[in-house]
Amino acid sequence: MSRLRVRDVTVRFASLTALSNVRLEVDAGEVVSLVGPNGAGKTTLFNVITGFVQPVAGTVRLDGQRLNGRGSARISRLGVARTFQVARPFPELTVEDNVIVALGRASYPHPLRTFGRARTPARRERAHGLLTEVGLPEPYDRPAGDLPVGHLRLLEVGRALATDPKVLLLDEPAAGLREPEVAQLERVVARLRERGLAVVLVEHNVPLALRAADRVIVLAGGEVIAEGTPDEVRADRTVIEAYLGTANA
Amino acid sequence: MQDLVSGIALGSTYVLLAIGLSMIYGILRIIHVAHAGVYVIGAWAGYLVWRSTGSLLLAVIAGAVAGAVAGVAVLQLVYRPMLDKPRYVPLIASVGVFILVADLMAKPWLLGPNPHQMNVKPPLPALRVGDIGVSGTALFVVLTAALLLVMLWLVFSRTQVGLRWQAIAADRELAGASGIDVNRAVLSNFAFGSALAGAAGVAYAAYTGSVFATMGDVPSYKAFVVVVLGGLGNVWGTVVAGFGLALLETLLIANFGYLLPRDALAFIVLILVLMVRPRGLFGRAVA
Amino acid sequence: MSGYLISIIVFGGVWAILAVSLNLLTGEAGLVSLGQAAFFALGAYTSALLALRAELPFLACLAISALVGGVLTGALGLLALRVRDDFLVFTTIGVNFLVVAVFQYFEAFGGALGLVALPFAEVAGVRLTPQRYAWLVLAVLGLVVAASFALRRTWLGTGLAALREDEQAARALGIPTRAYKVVAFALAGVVAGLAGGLYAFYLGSVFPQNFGFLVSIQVMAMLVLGGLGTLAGAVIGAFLLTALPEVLRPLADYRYTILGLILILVVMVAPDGLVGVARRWLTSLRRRGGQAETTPPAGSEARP
Repeated sequence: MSRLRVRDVTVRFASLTALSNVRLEVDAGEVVSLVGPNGAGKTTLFNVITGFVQPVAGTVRLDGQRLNGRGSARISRLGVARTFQVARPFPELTVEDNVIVALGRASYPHPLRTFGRARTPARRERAHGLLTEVGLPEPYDRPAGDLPVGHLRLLEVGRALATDPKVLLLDEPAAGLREPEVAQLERVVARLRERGLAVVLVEHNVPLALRAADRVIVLAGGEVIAEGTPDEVRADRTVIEAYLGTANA
Repeated sequence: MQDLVSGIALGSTYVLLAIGLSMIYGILRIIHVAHAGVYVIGAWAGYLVWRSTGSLLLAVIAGAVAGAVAGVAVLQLVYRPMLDKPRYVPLIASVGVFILVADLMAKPWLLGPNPHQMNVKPPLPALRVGDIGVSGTALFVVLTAALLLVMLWLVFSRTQVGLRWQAIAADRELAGASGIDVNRAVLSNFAFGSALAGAAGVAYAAYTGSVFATMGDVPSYKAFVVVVLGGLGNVWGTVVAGFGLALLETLLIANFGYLLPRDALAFIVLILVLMVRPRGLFGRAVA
Repeated sequence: MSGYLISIIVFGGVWAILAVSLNLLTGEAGLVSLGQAAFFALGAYTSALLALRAELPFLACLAISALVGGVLTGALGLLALRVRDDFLVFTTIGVNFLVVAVFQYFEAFGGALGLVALPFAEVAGVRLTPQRYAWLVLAVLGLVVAASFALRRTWLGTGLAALREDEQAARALGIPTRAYKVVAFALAGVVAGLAGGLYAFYLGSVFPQNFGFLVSIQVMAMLVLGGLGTLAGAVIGAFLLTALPEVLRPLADYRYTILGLILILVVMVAPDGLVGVARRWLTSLRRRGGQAETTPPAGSEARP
């Protein structure tokens, strides 16, 4: 059984159909890239999976357990983490605190543990470990708002990992990153796959998306127009047309 | 039916006051509490002119001019340096301006602590249709409001200025990037909205027959109810909400008496409406 | 202590407790409330009613005020789940008017004439002198400040900070933001309830007009003057604005004009309040001192 299974999801905003019968399956230890032109519905699909947008039809399941209909906080606690298209750190919190915030998923909803101490030495160490792992240089005690854009993205990946997810959704993580940072990110994704995470990668940098993925899904106009291994997708005529903008002709 | 008439007259003053607030919110996203101070300043100027000339029309014009001047002064002196600050910053400053104006107005060298009578000679003849009477003053208030609203509509829909206001309200950065002089457009928006508040102050004073330093307190809160119900920044929603609220208040009180103080009624309506429609009756849907 | 000093301490202390309550909502959780006087009123009326109608002792009244304040304010916090940003501000203003109207309208709550002639505060049969009362108020203030500090170290406090910074991102990390909003209101209600109880017993009476919208504004002004988001700011701002009318006695006629001017100038010059000013001043002082003595190691820029 797939770790994450999205079935026939349809989303409408007023009269606009943002997603129509979209299917997506990701296994543990698999990286799936989601590519497609702007407005194809990639971020909307992330919003559906994480409970920010309710589909009018279809289901989202994690290890067979239904996710859609649950709140986004609950979905996060069940093991789905994400980053945002525009990096959204907590700007006034320190870099370290940004990660520590994400370490409390078991304590937040608990009536007693919610009053427990958050910044223990062990958790600070874990936060530092995660930040090092994603390649964010020190110092970690300055406000996250002071970081350059590229570092904000790395911080967001570290923060998402701190929730100890089973599924990680990365929304254009390489945007704004410089070459060495992109390479670092690629290494991180490869490591996560080895560790058994299911990773979905939305990426405009198509070479990167194809390089990092086991499978690629191409979305256009809210529909899946192609699916396969990177090599299959690279050779697909419909995909080439969609990217050249002649698909509607 | 008689209640309907007084509801419409009262609604006219609500709308005139609230619409400027809504325009200003739409363009600057400021909770402009000091608008009520502008309203009192307008009423004061109108009162002075009425006392020396006896003309209500001149008084309304004076109120509008004084309102515009006061509003622009608040914009330039107070809000201008804090537009990029967190939202509570202009809010607190606005409250400061309002407290300051209300306190100064109560000084003997301005309006003083006691109400002044403003028994205007009705500028229009009274109307009588069946058993419904409309006083000349009420008629004047309604017609003035109607005239100003038509003018505003023309400005919004037919002039460059109105288009610029709409562009800025929709997206200030984009409007600025596409070559609109945002500062100037905000200035004219403020001047126009504040002029309406000044005129509203005179209209309300003439309608109720008195001018006093704290006359802005209740309208300031109520105008916000109207603006929020109208969908914060939605100018035409504000018109509907203003008349709707005035009619509802008047009719409820006429038929059921004072279940709660009249001013609490507005807030009950506000809370109930927000619980059903969290962005006001005519608010844009959440993106 | 002179009677004058005592009254400054008691009122300053009560306002400071209320400012700490507002800071819990607005400073910690980012929920802007302009209806804090309503939550204050819930505590004051609970104490007054219990003391007059049920003849409960002072401390019991105070404890129940905190409890009732917490429960009712938490319930009102449910309203905050539907609205956000400016609409939340207006909802809290509406709640303020509504609560005052209810107290003013219903005879059971004393109506417009209020509730008067509360018994003197007694603890274990001993009547509290004004001086002792002042100490008690300071002790309660110390307690709520300490509790507020402690809160920041917990998951709850951390989660509220995340909620303040970015609600959606907070939810995406598993923070139950809806529940946390209600909890923030409830905690603020407990603290405001305490303030209300202390206020009612000191005055010996409560009137609806003591809890109007301008009181909410005043509390917000205290917090902003001191420094929103800081506990020191809440306390400093409250005591300063309480003492101000006395300091300005020669200008008593222009008290509100000056209050208005202060509000405008503070947010114009220092929107982070007096605490913010002090912090920046200390930082620059430390930098200058540090440069004079040693050159700081590369990459360790001073930032508090």
